Amino acid sequence: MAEFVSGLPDDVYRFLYHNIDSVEQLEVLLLLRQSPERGWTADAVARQLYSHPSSILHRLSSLAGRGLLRELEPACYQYAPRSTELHATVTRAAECYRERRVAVITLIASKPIENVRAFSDAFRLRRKKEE
Amino acid sequence: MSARLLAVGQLISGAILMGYLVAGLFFLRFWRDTRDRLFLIFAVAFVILGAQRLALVLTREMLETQTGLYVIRLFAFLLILGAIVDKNRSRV
Amino acid sequence: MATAVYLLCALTSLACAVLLLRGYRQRGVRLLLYSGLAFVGFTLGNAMLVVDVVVVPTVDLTLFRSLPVLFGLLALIYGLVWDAK
Repeated sequence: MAEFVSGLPDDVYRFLYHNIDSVEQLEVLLLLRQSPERGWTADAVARQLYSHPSSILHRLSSLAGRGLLRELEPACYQYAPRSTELHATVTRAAECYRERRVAVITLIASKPIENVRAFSDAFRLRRKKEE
Repeated sequence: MSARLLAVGQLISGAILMGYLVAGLFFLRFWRDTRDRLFLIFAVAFVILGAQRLALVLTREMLETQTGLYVIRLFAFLLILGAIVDKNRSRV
Repeated sequence: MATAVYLLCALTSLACAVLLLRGYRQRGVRLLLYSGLAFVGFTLGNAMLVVDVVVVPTVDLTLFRSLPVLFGLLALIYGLVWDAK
């Protein structure tokens, strides 16, 4: 059902829905994935992505908290998903981001409203078929 | 009842009034963003509950049975019930 | 008459709390947790009104029954500010 609605495969949809709060965060993750052998500081990532180090640092620690990155030293992170499945899902998400960029961005951007809609849906007495 | 205790009671009432209004404003915005009628009804209900709190303070009577102001409260909760019924009747 | 009204209000609040907390259990959306807790507070406030009027009319429970409502609203606003973005 989610695929029909969003144009993305179910596992990618779920991964993005539960783990990615912003496009910037996704870009950070995919950047670190491209060179998994090295550690990145917030400054280095910020220079690559033309973004601000303080917001990058926030993204990095949030991704680390979700088991996608490992903190090698303070403020230096490496791509290290906590399971091979997760790595496979991230790889598929990277493909989707390449091929169906608009669908990915739409999903991420519409997330805030999802919480609000969840409030309203909670008042349905009969459970709606969801993921 | 000491003056201090009375003042604390007023403070709490004021905070509650503000709380209802702020929540009502959020619900109003959700209605604007989603056009979901439930949020509009909740917004109105919460503002009414806030207004009732205000009326209680203004009449200086905290036990609303004496004043009949509980009717306002009833109306607000009937609205909430109505919102739930409406949600289940329309698109389920 | 007033008692019946308060009971109705308490039951309505309870229904909202149950629905929201059930939604939290199903979806994990934090906003539902905080708003569910808020309606628990409202339920307590309404229930205590009944107690205040019927059971212990000589004792004034006003402050006590305002506190759950206040904490409920605090939880609700916290959830609205942080989790509804």
